[in-house]
Amino acid sequence: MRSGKLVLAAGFLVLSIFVFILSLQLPPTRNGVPGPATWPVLVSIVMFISAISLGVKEFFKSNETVIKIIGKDQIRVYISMTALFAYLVSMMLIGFSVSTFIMLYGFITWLGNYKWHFRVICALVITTIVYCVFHFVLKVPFRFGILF
Amino acid sequence: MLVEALNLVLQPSVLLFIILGVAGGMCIGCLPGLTTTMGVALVLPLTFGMDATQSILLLIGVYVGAVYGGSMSAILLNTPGTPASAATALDGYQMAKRGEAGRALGIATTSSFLGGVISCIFLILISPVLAKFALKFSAPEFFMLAMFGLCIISSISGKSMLIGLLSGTFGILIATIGIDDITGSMRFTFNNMNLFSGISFIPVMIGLFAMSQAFVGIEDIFVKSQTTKKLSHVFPKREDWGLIVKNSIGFGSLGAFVGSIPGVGADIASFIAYGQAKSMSKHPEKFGTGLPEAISAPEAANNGVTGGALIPMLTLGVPGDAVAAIMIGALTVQGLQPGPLLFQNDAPVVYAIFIGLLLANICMLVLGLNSVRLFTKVLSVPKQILVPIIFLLCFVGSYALANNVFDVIVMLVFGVIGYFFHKLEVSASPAILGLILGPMAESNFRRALLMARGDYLTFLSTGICWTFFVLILVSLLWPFAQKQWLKRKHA
Repeated sequence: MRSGKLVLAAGFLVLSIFVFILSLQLPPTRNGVPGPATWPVLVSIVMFISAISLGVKEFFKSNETVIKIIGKDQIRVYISMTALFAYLVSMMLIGFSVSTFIMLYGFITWLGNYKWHFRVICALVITTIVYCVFHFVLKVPFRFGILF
Repeated sequence: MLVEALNLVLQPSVLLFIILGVAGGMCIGCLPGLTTTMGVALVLPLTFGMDATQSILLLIGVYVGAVYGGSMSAILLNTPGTPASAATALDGYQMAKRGEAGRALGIATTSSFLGGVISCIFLILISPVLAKFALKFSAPEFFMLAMFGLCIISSISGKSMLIGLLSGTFGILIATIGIDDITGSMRFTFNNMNLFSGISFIPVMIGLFAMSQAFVGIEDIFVKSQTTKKLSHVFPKREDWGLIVKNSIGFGSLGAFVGSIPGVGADIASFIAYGQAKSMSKHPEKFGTGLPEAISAPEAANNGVTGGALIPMLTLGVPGDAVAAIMIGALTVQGLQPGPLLFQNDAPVVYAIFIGLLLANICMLVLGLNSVRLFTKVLSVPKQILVPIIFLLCFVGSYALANNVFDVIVMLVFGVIGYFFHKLEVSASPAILGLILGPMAESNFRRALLMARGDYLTFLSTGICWTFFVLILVSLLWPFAQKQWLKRKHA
């Protein structure tokens, strides 16, 4: 956990410096009236100080609890994240309904242990319900992709 | 006013949405791994096409139902459906093991109902007075209020105040993206058109609260729950009623008070109530062995929070907890701005919320006492099907906000960030509160300085400002004082 917190502190430290530098390019404060840069600069300074304090506090901490980041269970999460980014791309290229059916069928097959016809019915029913509720009832247009 | 509000609430469609909301919330709440915040975030996109009253009352229904629903799995499986029910599991499961699951559920249901009603009374009595007082606020007071909200949330939510501050400032910085309202300058947009109007906080909330939880669900997808206990009749015994009423009045009020403090949610309220009930008990040593008062106290308190959390949200525009933050989103989508002016400009909607909260609690009582067996069937829905459905709802929900794929990308990115926040024990609530309160704080900060011609002492120019200043100091110093006190106690 200690190394994780150090990485977290470093991440926020970099973000605060980045925001601070970008803010300097914005119009400055005039006649005591704050410009668009004042607020982000103030917030980035608070973030910088907090990140440094967290880093120092964690650096001198002795107890180390382990955060599971590359275990079997976590790899399953990273695969899911990648699959969802792929689903987003395929949704725009192929279309909402077909991509959603494939995504649901894929996940249920991968995570569960069901017979193929149950998986097909399940994916089909969920896709149809969600499509009908959002498209016909809530009037959300799903107009993208070459199919539907 | 009351007649107008009743006209709004007593429409069949609104009543139906309240019932559906409570039933849906109970289903979400009783499923371990699905939190109240996640449930409300998932239902939010469904409200975009509704009018303001239908929308907010559906969400209130889900909120009330989910906070109560967590007690079902806590009692039957020893696995709290939501963090707010963790205290209930301590004695509830012991009663279920003794074959008194029905009695325990009956106590939980009636206590939750009475706690909810008490909080509703608090909301009705306090909100108009507070809103009237808040009308005296000008830019410096609103800035100090926003800062107080951010400071208290950063110091209370999560395990570390520093991490809370980092999470809160992260949210504030995200809120600065887009065209500056006062000067029209582009801030951090990188010439990306999608960023010109800033990042909408609804996809961020869906990502941080729903998508990230679904990723956590993937992580422990093969963890099996224990079997459900058999249920006898779900109604409290005659000897339990005195205890239920006594506890509900006391701990429901405590829950309402705790809920009104920004950043303190139902989970903290229920543990405070459990601790108080134990210290007040004639036989504290029996706590944890299945005592009715140990179920009644936390359940009254956690449902007491529901009304309490709405007090700062409706009167000041400062959310009491993450669910109230989502409700601010729902009201904003409907063109309503929570805060003191809401009571002047849209009073019927405010009173409809009061009545709706009361009806949601009645609905929860009726469904809880009559259909608990039906709701426990939800516990058998496999995670392998549930998690992909949540993925899909997150995608469609964030797209439905503005029919914009960019919002889906934002949701997905924040889902990933939320997952790592979870792993590193970073509370996402301060980030959301930063995102909501950041623009309020900045615009009032700049307006106050404009009015005072750059004099920073304007932020300490009135008694209200000084009060908030003291409260900010207390909220920031409180964790250190608490640590010192605990150190001395253990020494």
